[in-house]
Amino acid sequence: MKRVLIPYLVAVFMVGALLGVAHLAFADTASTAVTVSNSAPSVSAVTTNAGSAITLTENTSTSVTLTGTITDANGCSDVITSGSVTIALYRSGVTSTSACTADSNVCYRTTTYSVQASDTCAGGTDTTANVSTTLSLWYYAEATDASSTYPTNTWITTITAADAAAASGNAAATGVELNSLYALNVTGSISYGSLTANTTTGASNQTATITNTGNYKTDTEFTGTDMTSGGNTIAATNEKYGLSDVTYASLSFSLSTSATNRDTNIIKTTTSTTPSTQATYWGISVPNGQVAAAYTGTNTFTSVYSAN
Amino acid sequence: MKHFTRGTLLATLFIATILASAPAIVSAFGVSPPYVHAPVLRKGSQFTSTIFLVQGDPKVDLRVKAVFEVPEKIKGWLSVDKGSEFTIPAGLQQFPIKVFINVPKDAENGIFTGYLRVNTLPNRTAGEQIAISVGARIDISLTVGENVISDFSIRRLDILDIQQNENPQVIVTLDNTGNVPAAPERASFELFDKYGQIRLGYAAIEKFPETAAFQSSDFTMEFPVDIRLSIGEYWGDVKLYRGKEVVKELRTVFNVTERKVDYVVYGGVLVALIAIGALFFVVSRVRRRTLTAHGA
Repeated sequence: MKRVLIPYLVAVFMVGALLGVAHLAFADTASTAVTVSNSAPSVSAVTTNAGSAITLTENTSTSVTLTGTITDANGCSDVITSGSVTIALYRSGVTSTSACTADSNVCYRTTTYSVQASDTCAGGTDTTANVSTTLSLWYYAEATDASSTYPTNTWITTITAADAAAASGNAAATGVELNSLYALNVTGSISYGSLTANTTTGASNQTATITNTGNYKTDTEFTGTDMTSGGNTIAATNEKYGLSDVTYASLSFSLSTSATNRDTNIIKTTTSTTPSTQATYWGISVPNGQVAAAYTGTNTFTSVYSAN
Repeated sequence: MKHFTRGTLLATLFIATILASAPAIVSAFGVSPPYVHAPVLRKGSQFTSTIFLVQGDPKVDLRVKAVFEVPEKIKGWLSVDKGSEFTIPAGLQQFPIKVFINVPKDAENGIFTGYLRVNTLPNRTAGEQIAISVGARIDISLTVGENVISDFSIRRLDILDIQQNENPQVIVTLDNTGNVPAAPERASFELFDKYGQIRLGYAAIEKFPETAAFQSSDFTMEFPVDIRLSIGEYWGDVKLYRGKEVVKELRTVFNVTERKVDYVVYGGVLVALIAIGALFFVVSRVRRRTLTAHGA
């Protein structure tokens, strides 16, 4: 009887031992938890116009490209998808931060941007993205080069990245110059019609209006050619011009074949809808004995620095 | 429907009136910057300045004449890359011209001023008595002296993305504003992990190509940090020094991407090796036959 029971007892013992080991191996559990805190995003490698000075175009706006790199340790999506990016381009003397008020003379701001193909925000554990935007600067934006009113200033770009929790970081680019632009356009025509010899245009002046389409106050140089028809000539000095609509005799200046600076003092405009202009009035005297013919000439208007 | 149609008609008439009454712009032209300033020239210097001729609405080709009004003794020093008469193509709002200044080796020292006048050459319309031309006056100011001026600025600094096992690389654009060749004296690179927290490596270099006086140049710096970088994002902090002064610093992220096998190169090498092997085989067979024939 004992011999029959022993194997069974051994088997029970072994099973029991195994169960005991299993209990020791699997019995203990512990709960774990960790809180991942929010990291504020950071911005780096900000550039303005690829580091080059900004050149504006007369009477219109010019695109300037700004770029930077956004990094967020919680993933770039925290900014690109769930947060925001604000980009400001401003003259350094206006403010020392990016909190300037939009003003087409000194401060441009936008929250519109694109993610560059060079480093997109792939989501997941991707922590960086390259962003860029293009701002349109008006022709009258204030210059900062050596010839300007603000030679110690530059134009600075600041990019501010904010995440879903409104934590933010920013960085600024090294400032770049915005160059002076001297420019003008001329509207109207100078066409004296048909006059007999020994007469003047009297009070019937021609009007040519000069508009300052640059970013600095300017004077104007005037020069002209003699009017000719074959071998016949009416000297340029027979043309007179002025800044007031008066009779020929009272017009202030005689036209010269050498460039002559006149104090037109056309100020820089401060908005895109109110151009800054100066009208000029033109008359001519036809000398006695002048041969009857159709005479033509060329008058040149040049925008130059205004010292006062 | 009736109200909408009348409103549209009124708006159309209003716009047409405005457009009809707006005076035509005869000529429009500008220049930026409106100066060429070269204050630190030396005898034998070569200086270049880029000036933009600008038009807001360049509908037609514009013929232009450029004339220097400068003292006779320096007239031969100055030139424009486009020549004295050229055409700005329609549609081009910003047209660059280069003004070259070549100071002779035997030039006298002094301060020289004058102008470069750029005037449009208008197309005269039929019956037009006075054609209106617009122009730009570019002020020129040169100083020729003995002073040695060594100065430069870094216009661009960028950490490039690299492939696995490559060293970090930084591209630089240097503008030499002095009158002698210039280069940075030292550059350093610190490598950090993707969070910018753990410093992984450091390297410094002291050899750079020189940039000629008054010129700009691009060059790439490679920093041997001696770490095999695996694929991923890293932070780099690069500094350029002039003496002890840091003239430019950049701290930003760059990527290490998968190393691409250049199949064209490897394929070409393999083909070449096979061809050489085949050649040796053929030559050895021919020689063996020859030897066998002589032996027989």
